Amino acid sequence: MTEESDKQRRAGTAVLVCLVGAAVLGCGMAVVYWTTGNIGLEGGLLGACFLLLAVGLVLWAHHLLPEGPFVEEYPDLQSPAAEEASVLATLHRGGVGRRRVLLGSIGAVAVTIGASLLSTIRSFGPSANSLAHTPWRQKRVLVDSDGKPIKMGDLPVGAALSVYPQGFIEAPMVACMLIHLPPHANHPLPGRRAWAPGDYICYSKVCSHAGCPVNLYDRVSMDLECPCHQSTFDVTRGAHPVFGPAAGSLAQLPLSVDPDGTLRSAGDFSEPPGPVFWHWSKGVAGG
Amino acid sequence: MAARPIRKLNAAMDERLGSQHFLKTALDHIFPDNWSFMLGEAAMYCFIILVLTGVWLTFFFDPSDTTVVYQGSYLPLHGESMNSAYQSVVHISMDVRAGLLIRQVHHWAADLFIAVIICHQARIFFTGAFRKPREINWLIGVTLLLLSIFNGFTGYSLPGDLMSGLGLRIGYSIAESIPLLGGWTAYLFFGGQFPSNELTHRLFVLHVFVVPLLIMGLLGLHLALIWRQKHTQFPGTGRTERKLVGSQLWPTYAFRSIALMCAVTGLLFILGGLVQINPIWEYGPYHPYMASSFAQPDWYTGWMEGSLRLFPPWRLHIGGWTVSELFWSGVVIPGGTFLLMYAYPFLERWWTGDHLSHNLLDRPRQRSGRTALGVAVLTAYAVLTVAGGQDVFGYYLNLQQAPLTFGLRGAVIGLPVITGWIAWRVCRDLRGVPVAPTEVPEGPASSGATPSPKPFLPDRAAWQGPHGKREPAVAAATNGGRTPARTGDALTRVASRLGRTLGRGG
Repeated sequence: MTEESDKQRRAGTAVLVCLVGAAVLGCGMAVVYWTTGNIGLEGGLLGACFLLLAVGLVLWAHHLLPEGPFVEEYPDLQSPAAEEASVLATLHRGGVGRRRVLLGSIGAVAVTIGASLLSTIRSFGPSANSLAHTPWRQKRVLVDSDGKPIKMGDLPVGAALSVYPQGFIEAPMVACMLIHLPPHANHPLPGRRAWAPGDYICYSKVCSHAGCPVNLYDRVSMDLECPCHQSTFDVTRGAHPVFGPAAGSLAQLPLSVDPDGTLRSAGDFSEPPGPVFWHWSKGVAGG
Repeated sequence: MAARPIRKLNAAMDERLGSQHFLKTALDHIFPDNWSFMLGEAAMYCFIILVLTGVWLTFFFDPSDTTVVYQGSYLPLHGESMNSAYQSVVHISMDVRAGLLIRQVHHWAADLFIAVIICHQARIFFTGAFRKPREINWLIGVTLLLLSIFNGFTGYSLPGDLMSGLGLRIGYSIAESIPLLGGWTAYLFFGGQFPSNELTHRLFVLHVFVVPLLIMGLLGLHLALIWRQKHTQFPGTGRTERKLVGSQLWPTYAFRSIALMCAVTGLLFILGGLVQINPIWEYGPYHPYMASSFAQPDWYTGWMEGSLRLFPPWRLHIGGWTVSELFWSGVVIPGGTFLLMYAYPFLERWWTGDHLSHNLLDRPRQRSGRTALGVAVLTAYAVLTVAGGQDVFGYYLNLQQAPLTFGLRGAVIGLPVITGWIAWRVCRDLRGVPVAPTEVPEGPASSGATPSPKPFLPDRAAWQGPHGKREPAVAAATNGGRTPARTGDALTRVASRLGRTLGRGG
């Protein structure tokens, strides 16, 4: 008896040491907060405080508290059949279950209310629903991210630059990659021969896979790569995907040149830019 | 004897509520002793830390997409345009005293929360704790995992930094890829074309109100069901389907549990104080035209990222309609994952024909089929998670993207077969090893009320055959497990299950 008491007394002392230590560390956290505000110290002290508290409580539980085995019966979950029958009878009180027509009507009303309430989610959407058109349609001047118009000759051969429609730099789905290809490198798709004047070619930067900006250009292989999922597009062949999870080409932007050499779009993209969706070929989000 | 204030308070409550019976039952409630039964609790404590730190952060966070030009104290961002959400998170990180500590604790808590939930779920799976009568709690648990991952994603997306913007852009594209409803879904959920000016506010309402409230409600239900059905236990001396052996809620179990809470809190504060996480000021604000190499989501969405990267480019054109390649990797795979998780208890019941209630857990080695399946599935998702950081691994291991992608595609199919087979073999070799003096059926009550279930696979006795005295490990090794009897047995079982199901249908 005495021996066990001794053991327990020692355990009690250990617990006390832990608790006092935790209190000191906790105060330390407060001091750091009010003085230097160093978050490493704050987190370390508070964390150590809690860990010491945990150790103290574990020691307490292990050495000083009753440890079983205690036994308890699992409950009998299934009720006797008579009780079940009585519940079912109660549910039918007043012949509720017999009035099929009325119950059916309640169901119909519930569906109606549900449907009309659900239809209010329309408020969450925007008023216009076209994904087909971008500001490029209005034959806008190509500008860089600072808004400076791009002219023929601004880009050395092999270089690539992110471009935007003048006045719409932050608009959705407009970002493009303008690339100055070496002569004769381009193999334009049918009908796109005139889209790349002076070997300047322009593709949407919105990846056809998951919509990340495709902004890694390899001037040797003449590929555009998406940094998110590594889809790779061959810019000399209509930005056709050559590797990775993307199945479609990047949308191409037709270019034209003003008399002073300024580049501008000759119309909207070859197809809706970015990832495809159900109504994609119609270019409309909701059909 | 209890101290005077406690006695007075207890008496006052009892006069009004008649609380003594409930209190006595509650304090005597018994929990089985096993460290792995504490995992769910650890997750709950992470959630509590998340709520507390989250409330703290909410006071400083500005959920708005208004464009501002930064003029604050962090000079490298001076003059940059950003949304005010990003500005407020930079403010929390740089100017609010202990702000960065709380933010990092919050982020670490989210990462740990989901990690612990998955460990908890794995424990439930491998020990068969999801079986009748606990299928409802499995369904609630899977829903909690789903909500936690969703809330992790919305939280990651709130600060308006480059990483969160890219993650949202991908989320938008996935929503858009749903056949028929995709365009509408993306439009309604994200408030128009990406990025809209309503996005941050919507995510905010979901992140701090709707989803946490759902988690809280379901967590309460989860605990209430455990309370009602009592916890499962491993087989052992005196433990039966009828008798639960363990420690009482008060004081032993309560002390342990509070100690666990303190340990989780301590760990999170040490991580939050000393280990940097999500330094959004280094990523910079999001602009739709910007991207970064090595963009990584939080670890728990890595498997979806991996699925996006590895899936072959399959795009369908049906009439005038288009099914995006993203639909398979971004909707079918994650959706299927959760559907199969929801369905698992019922699929296993169909397979084994075991409709009995169980309070005693399986040892994973006793259910080699289930264990092998679990190991294989975990392997597949681990490979997908690695694939989510494919570019980073490729860079550090000096590998080209193409061979890495093809290798990972092979691994996601091949590796689970290998690890599953290894798990199967290990289980079978271990199964013969006697387990201490356990599984002693106690009293007529246990054997009468719950006869032992039909085993998932041939049980130990069947496995050892008539020569039960043989050295079991050797038996396992020499027998090879491919005896015609066993194969035939499995085939018969498939046939009879199918027959029964079809018969039921007709």
